[in-house]
Amino acid sequence: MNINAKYFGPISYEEKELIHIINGLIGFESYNKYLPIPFQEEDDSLISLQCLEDEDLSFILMNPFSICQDYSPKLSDQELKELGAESADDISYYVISVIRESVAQSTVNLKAPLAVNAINRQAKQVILEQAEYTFRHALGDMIHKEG
Amino acid sequence: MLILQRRKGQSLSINNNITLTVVDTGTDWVKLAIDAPKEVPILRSELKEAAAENQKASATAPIQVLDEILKKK
Repeated sequence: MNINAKYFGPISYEEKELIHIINGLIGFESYNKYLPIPFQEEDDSLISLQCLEDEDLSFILMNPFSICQDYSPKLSDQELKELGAESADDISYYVISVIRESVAQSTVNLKAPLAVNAINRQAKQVILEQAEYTFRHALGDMIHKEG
Repeated sequence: MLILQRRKGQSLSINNNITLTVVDTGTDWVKLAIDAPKEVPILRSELKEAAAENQKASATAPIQVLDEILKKK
């Protein structure tokens, strides 16, 4: 199958690469089918989450553990059940970034990550109860800490 | 801003058509029952904030900033 991806132009993909977001992303409830496309091959640190139902819609995802090594999101039993996960180990996490004109102005949302069950490719944007995470962490601080 | 103290089982009324009742409380939480007309939207505040954040994240990201992020990794 083919799609004209927002950041990559025309590309082909297979159905098995798609993820299904249960109830859609918050505020984007009408879209469920997304294709994750890494900006660099074999590297999940920066991903375009391309919407299949609207080619102009793509979110920039990051692997939270590459920018915040001690990130430890906790899902409720109800959320794990919705994702069809037997244990929390089945879940991968990605965080949504707001990329602005510079890295210094950009932010990353650690409060509401996308939780993905890699086995059945069901995903859900959750809002963590953990008070240490907010909707807007400065990306510049996190990248610099790392390097 | 009006701040009221209510106990478990007590309620308050807003605009004569919305009733808020404290059903239960814990050390750091309260359970509320909201009786309001169907057309009144009720949303947990963090959902509203998450939606606003997603809205911003749906804007087109400048390619040069994405490149810079990749280089710093």
